[in-house]
Amino acid sequence: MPLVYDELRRLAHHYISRERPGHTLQTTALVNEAYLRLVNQKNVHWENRAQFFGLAAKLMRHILVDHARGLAYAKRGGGARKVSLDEAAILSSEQAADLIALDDALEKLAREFPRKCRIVELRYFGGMTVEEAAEVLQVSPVTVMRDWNVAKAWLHRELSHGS
Amino acid sequence: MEADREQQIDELFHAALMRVPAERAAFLAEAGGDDEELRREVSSLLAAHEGADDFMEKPVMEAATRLLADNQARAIINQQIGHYKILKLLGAGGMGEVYLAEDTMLGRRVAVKLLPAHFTTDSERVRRFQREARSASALNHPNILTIHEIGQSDSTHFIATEFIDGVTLRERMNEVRLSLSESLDVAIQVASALAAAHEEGIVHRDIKPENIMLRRRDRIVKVLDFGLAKLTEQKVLTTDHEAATMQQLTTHPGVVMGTVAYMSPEQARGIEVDARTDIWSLGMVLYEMVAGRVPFEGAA
Repeated sequence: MPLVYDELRRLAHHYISRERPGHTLQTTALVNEAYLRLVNQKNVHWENRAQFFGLAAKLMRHILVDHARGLAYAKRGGGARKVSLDEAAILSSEQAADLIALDDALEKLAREFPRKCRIVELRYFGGMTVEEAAEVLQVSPVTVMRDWNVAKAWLHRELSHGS
Repeated sequence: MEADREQQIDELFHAALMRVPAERAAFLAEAGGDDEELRREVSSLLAAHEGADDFMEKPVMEAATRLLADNQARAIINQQIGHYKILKLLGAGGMGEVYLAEDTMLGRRVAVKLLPAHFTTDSERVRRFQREARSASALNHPNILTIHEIGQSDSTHFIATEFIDGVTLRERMNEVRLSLSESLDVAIQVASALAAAHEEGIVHRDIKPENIMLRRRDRIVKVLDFGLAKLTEQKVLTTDHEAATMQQLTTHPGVVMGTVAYMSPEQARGIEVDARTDIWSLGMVLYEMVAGRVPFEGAA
């Protein structure tokens, strides 16, 4: 895990610093590149690419939600932690609140429909296409599409109830 | 939930989606058979689907990538930026992180400020900033931090300045209650720096205790970051000053924005500022040094 994290972090920095205005970050390419770099190392035994992508998407979810909870905590006046402008520029407090609610809803979704939760992770947090997610989960793209549609409706319902 | 139940839901949901919305209820009533629970579940999911619009349409991976990159920035110690070797983090603020570094050519210690990547992706903003920094670097005054170099290494923009071994006025105020004579001494030196800058037509825009350094050795005051505040300003394209104020103050809600307390009224309203804005801010700082708190507290 730390190795994956370090590699993603290093590449992310590289991608951001190369970023030019008007260009969207090709962040799924980043995960691809990280994977290729890691599988070339002898001491890493990734069973397959799918496992890596699943892990990267989980990591992205974890990083974002952690950050969102940190922002929410700082906003409530917790602790003395100052949030720097560049940190805050990444997520507005509204986005942070949405992410936290989504994360909670995803936990519930995972209990009822674990595969749907993974698909949301891969698509929403991992930025993957339907085809890529299908490859990771070893299911057909049609299944991914259907799961995705139902999961979105399910989560949207869950989040609307909460508010 | 059991897998076949999940499949039933998925199938009925998608079969209903194939119908035009007006026909879905009738379709469910028929296709759902006598499974009332299934019918209710799918019907409620369909309603949520219709209201979902662009919910989760755009992946959040980009934000995650930015966070990763931010963390990476903390791993910069011992790296070489231009001919500066980064030694340690001195502080971080809205306009990037400041590191103690060694100038490997001249063998002296300097401070290197790295600008956050997302500030420098807008080339117009970078040009504006460089213009400002160039004019600020022409300022030659004992109370203004000397700029050695404005540069770029790979795509990291940085500013190398003289290194001041000391504390910020904020840190000093946190340690002790300043005496009146010390307060005046600091204020006079800041005023002297401002006078020199204003003569050259340069407005600081962000005078606050965090931007005022007190050198340990001789208590000489150094004003930091002339003109840099321009880099973080949002261009407000509105004549509605109320809205502009709201935008400026709420762009990053939840953030500890020390600056607001020192902002002049015209600055808070988002309209053009001139030298007078710095004088207002200095007034706020002087007040705080003497009274131990800023004159206007609470929500702006």
